[in-house]
Parts: sequence; C-alpha cells; structure tokens
Amino acid sequence: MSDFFPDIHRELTFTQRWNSYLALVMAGVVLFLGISMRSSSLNAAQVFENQEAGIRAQVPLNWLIDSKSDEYVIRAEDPNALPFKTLLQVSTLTVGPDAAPRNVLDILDIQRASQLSAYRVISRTEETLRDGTPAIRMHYAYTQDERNPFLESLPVVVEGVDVVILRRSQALVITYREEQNSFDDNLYRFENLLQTLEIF
Amino acid sequence: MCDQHYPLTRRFLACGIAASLLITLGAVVVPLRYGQAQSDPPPVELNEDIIKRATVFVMQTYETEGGPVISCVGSGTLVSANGLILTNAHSALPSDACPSDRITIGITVRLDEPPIPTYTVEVIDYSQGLDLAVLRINGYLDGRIIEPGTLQLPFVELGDSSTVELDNTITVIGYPNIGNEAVTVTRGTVSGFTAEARVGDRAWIRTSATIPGLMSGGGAYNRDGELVGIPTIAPARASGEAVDCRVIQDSNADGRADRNDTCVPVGGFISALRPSRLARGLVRAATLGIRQGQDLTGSTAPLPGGSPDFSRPFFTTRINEAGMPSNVVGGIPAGTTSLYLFFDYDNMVDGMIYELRVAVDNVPDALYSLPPVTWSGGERGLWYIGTTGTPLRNGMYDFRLFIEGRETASARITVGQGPRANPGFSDVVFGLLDENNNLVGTNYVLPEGSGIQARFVYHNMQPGLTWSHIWYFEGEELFRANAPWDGDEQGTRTITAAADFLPGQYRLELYIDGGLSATADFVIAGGAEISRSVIFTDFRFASEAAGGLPVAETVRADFPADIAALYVFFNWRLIAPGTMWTRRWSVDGDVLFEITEPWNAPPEGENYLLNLESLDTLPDATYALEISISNVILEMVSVKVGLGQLPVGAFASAEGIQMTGRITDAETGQGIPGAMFIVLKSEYAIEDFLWTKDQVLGVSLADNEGRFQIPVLLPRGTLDEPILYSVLANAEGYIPITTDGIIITDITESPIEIDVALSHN
Repeated sequence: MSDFFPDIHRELTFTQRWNSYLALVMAGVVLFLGISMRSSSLNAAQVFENQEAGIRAQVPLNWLIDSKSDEYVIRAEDPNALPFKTLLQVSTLTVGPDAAPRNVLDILDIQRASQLSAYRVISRTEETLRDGTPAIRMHYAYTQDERNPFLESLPVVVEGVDVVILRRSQALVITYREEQNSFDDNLYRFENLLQTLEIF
Repeated sequence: MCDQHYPLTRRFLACGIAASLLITLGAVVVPLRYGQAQSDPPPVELNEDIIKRATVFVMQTYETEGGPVISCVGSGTLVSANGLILTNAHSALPSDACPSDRITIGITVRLDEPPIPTYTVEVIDYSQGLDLAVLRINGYLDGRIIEPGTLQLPFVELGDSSTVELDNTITVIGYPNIGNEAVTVTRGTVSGFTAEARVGDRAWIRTSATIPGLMSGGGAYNRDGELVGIPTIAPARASGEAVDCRVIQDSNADGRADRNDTCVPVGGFISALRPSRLARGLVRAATLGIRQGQDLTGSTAPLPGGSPDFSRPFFTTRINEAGMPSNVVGGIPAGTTSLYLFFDYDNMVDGMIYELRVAVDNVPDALYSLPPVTWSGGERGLWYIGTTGTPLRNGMYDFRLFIEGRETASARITVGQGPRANPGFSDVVFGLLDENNNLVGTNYVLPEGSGIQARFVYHNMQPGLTWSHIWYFEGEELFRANAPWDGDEQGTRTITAAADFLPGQYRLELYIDGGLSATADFVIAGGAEISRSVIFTDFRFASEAAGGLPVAETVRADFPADIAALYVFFNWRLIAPGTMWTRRWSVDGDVLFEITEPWNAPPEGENYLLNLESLDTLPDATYALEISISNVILEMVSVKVGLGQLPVGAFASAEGIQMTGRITDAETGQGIPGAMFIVLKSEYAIEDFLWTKDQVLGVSLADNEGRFQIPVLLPRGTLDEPILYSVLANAEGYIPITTDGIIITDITESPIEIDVALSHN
C-alpha cells in the first residue's frame, strides 16, 4: 500500500521552500500595498487656497467642495458618508477690535440657536495651535433634520467642533461636524485640517 | 451614457451600469405657467396630487399656561415656492371667536393622511372685506426661523377668474375637517355669479359643489388646474347663532374637555367662491415685498352709536359705471338675466356679517341668495347685491336682508311679467351748465356751488302724469318739487337744483305718481376748475418723511433704485368727513392695493400722507397712485423708481421640472437612507465633475424610504434646443451610478421620477 502513497513527510526541496517563502512574502506585500493604497485613497488630500481670505489648507480629496458662498470660505462634505455628510468648513466673521474669541462663540451660539434644532453647547476650552496661535475650541451638538417636509427622514444627532482664531478684525472659524457615532472616528480629519492650516 | 474613462468612475473603480438607472417619466404636471419666456406652454390638465400638496391646513392657536390651544382651523393654498399662502382673512386674523397669537400651518406629507403641523406663518396683508389674506411661512414649529426665499415648496398660481363661464367644471380642494382627515377633492359646476357693490358683477362665483365649511380658504380650480376661486364662508362669531363646533382639548386646564373649553368652529357649507382676480393684488404685493403703510393723516372713525340697519330696498336691472342704479323696477319680464337689490345701510361696522336670503315662490333659492359674508362697506351709504349671467326663472322673489343673523329689510319682485309700456325715468347723471347752457362735467362728483343740474331719460310719459323730484343732503330732505308732466313721451330732460351745495353726500329721487322711478347719489367736494371738481392738489413724492412731512432733500420726480419707502403728500380742500374715497396703488399698471374708506380728516388741509414700504428695497418700477370718489377718477400721479420698470420675470414663477425618485439597494430593494443624489448644471457632464459645489444644480439626501427630491426645479429647454442634465447617485459601500443626457424640453412633464438601484461594492 505504501508504494501507492508517497511519503508526505519528506523534506521540501530548496526551491520549493523558497517558493513558499516568496509566496507568503508576496501575499504580505500585496496586502500591505492594498491597505496602503486604501489608506492613501481614503486620506488623500488636496490643497485649498483662498488668497482673498488668506487661507491655505489641505482638505480630503474627492469630497464635495463649495467655495463660492458668502457664508464660508470653504466647505467640504463627504458625499459617501451615511447618514450625515461629514463636514469640514472654514469661515470668517468680521469682529470689532475689542472682541475676544469667546465673544465670537457667543455670536455663533445665538445664531445657531435659531437655525439648528436642539442646539446645545457641550464645552468650551482654550488651546494653542501648532504654530503657537491662541484659539478657543467649542464642542456642541444639535439634531439635523431634512428641510424638505415631504421627505420622511429621521433627525440625525450631529456633534460639532469649532476652533476660533482671532486675526486682526476677523475671526476665523474652523468647523467639523459629524454624526455622533462617527464623530471620534473621523475627528482626525479635522485635526489634519488644523495641522495643515496656514493663515497668511 | 456611461463612459468608462471618466475620472469620476475611475475613482470609484467601476462605473455603474446605466441600464440600472431606471428613469420613469411621471405623468404629473406643474399646474400653472405664468411668465414663461420662450414658447407657449403645452396644454395642461389639472393634477390633483400637486394641488393637494400645495394645499395647507391653517390653525389659529393661542398660548395658555397649559400649552397651546387650537381656536380655529381652515384651509389655505401655497401660491409661491417660497411659502406665500393665500387663505381667508378670518382664518388668519384673531377675533373674539378665534383668539390667536400664532398661526400654524399643516402640510400634506402623504396624500392619504391628515396634515402634519410643520410651519409658522406671519400675515403679510389682508382684505377684511374680501375676506382674503396672504401669509408667509417664516419658521418651524420649534422656533427656528426660515429666511425668505429659502423654501422650495409645491405651489399653484392664480388663474384668470374672469374667464370662468357658467357650467364650467370646478374642482375644490381643502381640508374638510378639524385636521383628522386627508385633503379632499370635491367637484361641481359654476352655477352663477353674484354681484356686490364696489367689486362688480363677479364679486362671487357660485357653485353647485358641496363644500364643507372648513374648506373655506382652500382653492377652487378650473380644468387646467388654475386657481380661480377661494371658497369662502362667514367667520365664526363668538356670540353668533348656532355655531357648530368641536371641543378637542382641555383649554382651561380643569382636567376635563367639556363645553367650558375652547371649541373649534366647524360646520356649514360653502356655495360661494371669491374670484382669484380679487387676490391678485395681495399676492403680487407680497411677491414684490411691498406693503401699504398706515394712513397716518386720517383719524380712526368712531364706532357708530346706533343699531346697524338696512333700509329703502329697491330693484334695478342695470348698473352704471359709477355703481349707481340706472333704473328702478317693480317687476321684470321673463328672460331677464340681471337683477340687483339696492339698499341703504347705516351704523354698519366692517367685519359684521350680513346675508341675503332669497325665496322664489316661497322656496329658498341658494343661487340668488348671498350666504353670510363679511361686511366691508363702512358705516353708511348705498349698497347692492345682484345676480348676473343666468336668466331668472319666473316667479315671485322675496328678498330678505340680515345683519348678524337679524332680519333688517325685505323686498319683493315679480319675474315673468309680460312686456309693459310703463312710464319711467332712468339714467340719472349730474353736471353743470356752461355758458351755452350745455350740461358739462357730467358724473357723480361735483364741485361746491349754488346750482346743480340733473339729466335723466324718460319714456312712455303722458301729459298730466304727476312726477316729482326730491333732493337730499346727508340723508335729510333738502327740497322737493311736484308737477304734472308737460313734456314729450320720451327723451331726456334736465332739471336744476338751486341751493348752496356744501361738501357732502347728496341724493336725487325721481317719482312718477308717488312711485320711485329713478335715483342716484352724488358727492359735492372740491372747487370748480373748468366744470371739473378739484379736491386733491400739489402731489409730491419723497423717499423719506419725518413728522408727517417730506424730508425736503428727498422730494423728487424720479427716484434712484434701492429706496426702502415711497411717500406721497398732497393737499386737499372741501371734502366732507365721511365721504367715501378710494385710493389705488399700482406698480407698472398692476393694481396692488385698493382701499375704499370714509374720509376721516378735516375738510381742508395740507400734506396728507400715504406711503408704500418694503421689507428690503422697493423694486425698480413705475408706482402710480389713483384717487377716486364714486368710481370717478379724480387724480392719478406716478413716479419712477430706478429704471421705472419691474425686473423681467419679477412675477415669473419658478418654472421647471421637479426631479424626485428613490435610491434602493439592488439586492434587497430597500431604500438607502442618506444616499446622495446630485444633478449637475447643464453645462457639465459627469466627466467634467470635479466635486465642486458650483457645478451642482441640486443635491438631495434620501429619506428613510430612500426617496429624494431635488430642491430646485430643473430649467426647461425646448424641442429644438433641449437641455441635457447629468446625474449621480452615491452612498457609502455602494458602487455609484452616473448618467448623462437626461433630456428636458418644454413638453417634458413634471415631475420626473428616477429610481436608482445601487449595488454593493
């Protein structure tokens, strides 16, 4: 019987062994490359610059970009995100010479309270940006609902963060908004924006 | 349709198969098409679904310690995409029967379900007499504000109610109940028209449709789906007769909902529609953002002290251009198509409810009756109600007039008399004699003086018949003359009244053998200038006023663009307080405001102030003010603002195609909530799309069921030059689907419905 069954425990040849090693390495490399490509694809960024506002920053590639509004300098939304389109935004607000960052947040609060449903401020903290610029960060939440009354959408609880920087007679407001369950997961996009933000 | 080389599709690894984009062209049509620039629109037919969605439920509420209380409800209609609503004034204005500090609007989200309270509104303008009001949606129920122009709601446009003919089919849409039933459609035909003083022969459209009372304020549509009438019923009265009502909540917070709680009036049926032409000025003014300022010069007239009363009812078959009876009849031949009941009124207050009940051979007849409606004629004067357009059937007609449910006057007339050659007078007109003894300046407004001439037509007169003429001043007999007839059998005759004719209201009555044969009122006001009465002079326009006077440096003949208000000042003389006068503002020839009210200023004075205001700035246009008394236009002045012409398309409705649809999972068929549907501007194809918002025409996120609705209308092309649109559907975890070449022409029916099935990636 044994003649009909080769010895399966016999040792591999040198070539076979290295072929196996090579196959494993190749699989690892391909996996690594795939993960890298996916990661780079997901985190790919494009540079946005607005000379008039004096702002340069990196925003995610292939997000829906709106830079033609009077309300903000740039707004980027993730078209794929469900159920809320993740939002990054940079806007400016003209302020008086005596205005403090907290005054700007007060103005934003009053404005939003009449525009956003169940708007509520969670926290306000002072911080210093990478380049040493003092700023104030506000964490807030509201419910987002569909404006079209004929569509039956559930309200979405949205968390948001504003970082306010004063610059001469302008306040720069950098905003991140995301559905509450994904807020922490995507916060790095906001931090990336802050890290790459250049004010000139 | 789907190019594999598109950068967009490369990014997503695969292009969706265009065939999986199922495009269904719905058979739904946007109902009205005013202001289209290109070719004539294709014929359209009434589409109930669109109109139902444009019909809203109006709730008046007031706040109590226990929460909001609903006091009255009615129907309304969206007449613009940005949230202008046309409804009855009594559905929007607080009253004793309907206390309110807030108006809530419910909309139909699902056609077969009751309305859902969604918005709050503000009253932009109203006419209590016409019982019409225009509201504007200004916020959500949670207090969030809606900026003007940010809504995109389904709406209907006003049709031309003057084209409505007898026996036309009318479709009435509104909410028949207190908010617990879906929007309802009822149909009938036009059964006649009712005339009313100050409005004319078509003050009301009468219909055979059975319309529940709560549909008051809704819409009546012709076969093309155009809004031609507003069903209108008298407002509820706090102390009125037998108001049927429903207790729906514990308004006094005593733990029980019973007869001591606020009761929502219901009941009654509507048989009369206010023609949409009467709402046109209100809607257009609201569209332009123009309001009429308060009359700051005239004081508020004190409320009359006596009991309201109607008296001296008589009939006529013809009315002249001044709204005066041309003849007086006691019976009319068979086949007569017009009959008017005239009567004097005294001690009336605007907002009272009056009614005419007619019985033919003792059988009540709704067609000739006027259901309870709101009074708007002021305190004292001459009024009429009539029926036109339909041959009156033979019989004995009994007319009974009611004020607030109380009968105040009655009259009877026989229809079906044979031809009779009765002597009679008719067509009285007043004037002054010139140096050649010709009667000139004939009308019903004459200058102060010592002599007035009246000319009238006579027919079938016989020598020896006793006739008389009696002149009245402010209701008091001034003098009379009796004489046997000494003229021909027929012709015209002029009589003279010599007296000191002071400013005020006058009347002439002509009798034959003691029976009233003709009558007319006239007004003495102003001074004579070439046989014409001049009352109002020295008109000046200004863009600013202070202390009731024009700011000197702003007085102009023409104004630059972007002024916020327009003031007109004028002087006046010899006009008696109480004289009814009419002021009419028009913009580029379109009448926006028309107010008739008693003169409440001293007989003479300077700088009477009227004004127009804007929420923002007055649009470029030619603004005209016309002042008249007794339908006689006395003055008309105009001024240009900016270019002196309204911007092209100022009244054009948002015209285009609505795009709706559903995004589903291809495997399960379930909707994908939050999926994004993008329509690109027509100049961009999918391959041009760089994910910048300025390339996007409209975006919608799918709801729980996967349904989406693009919030802007897609502009139309033409058959020769169609517009092509590109669309994209996208959701995380799915392969996006794109397509170019969705063709929109001027005959594409709206809405376009697109169903998209996305596959997992």
